[in-house]
Amino acid sequence: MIMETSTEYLAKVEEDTKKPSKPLDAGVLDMPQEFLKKHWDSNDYHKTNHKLYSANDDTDLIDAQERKSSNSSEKLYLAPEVLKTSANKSIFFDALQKWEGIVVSVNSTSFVSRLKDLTNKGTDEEVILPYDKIDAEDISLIKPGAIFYLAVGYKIKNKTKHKASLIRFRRIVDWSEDEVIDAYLKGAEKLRAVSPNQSSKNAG
Amino acid sequence: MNKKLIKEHLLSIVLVGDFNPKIFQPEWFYKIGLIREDEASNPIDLISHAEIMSFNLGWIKVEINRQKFTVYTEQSAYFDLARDFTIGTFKILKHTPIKMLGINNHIHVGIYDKQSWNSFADKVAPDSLLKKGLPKGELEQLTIKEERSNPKGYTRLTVQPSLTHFPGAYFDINNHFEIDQNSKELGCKEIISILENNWKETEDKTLNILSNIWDNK
Repeated sequence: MIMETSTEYLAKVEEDTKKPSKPLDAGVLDMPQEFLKKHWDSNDYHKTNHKLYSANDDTDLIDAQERKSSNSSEKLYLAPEVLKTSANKSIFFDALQKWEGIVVSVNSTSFVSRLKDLTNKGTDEEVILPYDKIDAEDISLIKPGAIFYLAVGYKIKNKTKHKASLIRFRRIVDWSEDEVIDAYLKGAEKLRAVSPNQSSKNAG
Repeated sequence: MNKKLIKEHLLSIVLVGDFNPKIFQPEWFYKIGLIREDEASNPIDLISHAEIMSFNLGWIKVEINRQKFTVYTEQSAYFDLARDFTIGTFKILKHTPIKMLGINNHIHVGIYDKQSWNSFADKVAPDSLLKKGLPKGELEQLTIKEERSNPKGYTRLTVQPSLTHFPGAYFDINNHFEIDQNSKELGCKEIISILENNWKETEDKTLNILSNIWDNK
């Protein structure tokens, strides 16, 4: 990929730092604002620090394009777009609050879900989440009854913190025949305990 | 307890039994639907050998040898997913003989100043008890174990000064479960159901232990 020269890059960094802080950074899911405001302390927001790596940095770089600064003979290396290992390795998600969600209903562009607060044991909330905020590989998992986990916190990449949220669907294997039978028997047993007459009528 | 004081929190789920490490390939986990395709095709630090299988998916690290199946994560957003991954694996491999389970939390708490550390250390190992015999003694390690009968096992708490966050405290909370020696269970259904049914309670207990020690210092 073509990268900017050092001076262009530095100018862009300079320009970026002058911009007012946004409540959400690039790559952050566009959760409903009222939902985020409720759960995020705006004082926690840390501004992104753009960094220029020198050749002496021990960062695990490949494909870092060597660029000469137009004003000096000093060699500078721009932060690479690609890390040697999977990008996941360098990303750490520090969760401040977590929810377990269940998909209630789906439509063509979004789905309605009910969220259970796992951190503060608050009341359940319903939110509408658009499909385009879900990772492509999880789209096929969105169906009524599907469970997912939502967390808000900080995404830490290369020692830089961004406010972020994370959604990941549970991938659990379908129920086996044994489990279905077990569940049916347990259900029947509970029904008998609650309403003996009703269950005997239904038996068979 | 203010969660911002927690500097590191590593969760590990450990199953003890008889495993064949070679079968636990990332590709296999993808085929049974437990991980994404891109994760299976690009695992980090993959070690594949008859005696050990180990790989890192970014959100969890998985390590299997002949006696142990271990899933680690140090990102609390993925704790529940690590549990689901473990349960999903052994719902497929339901005949794997597994006898023990550990839900372990390794937590570093930052204290920031020596005075707070002294006050904390004095609380867990009071000077009044130690000073007479060991006047210059300092807290190195304290272990407390609580046995449990249903499900069988114990919770063991170890407190030490943190080696990575100084001054700070390190808490190792080991929740151990095992199936009854007389159980006729041949596979892993019983131990996996212990994991499913005791997860929330164990998580709450871990946080309670931490809060009770910390908030009463």
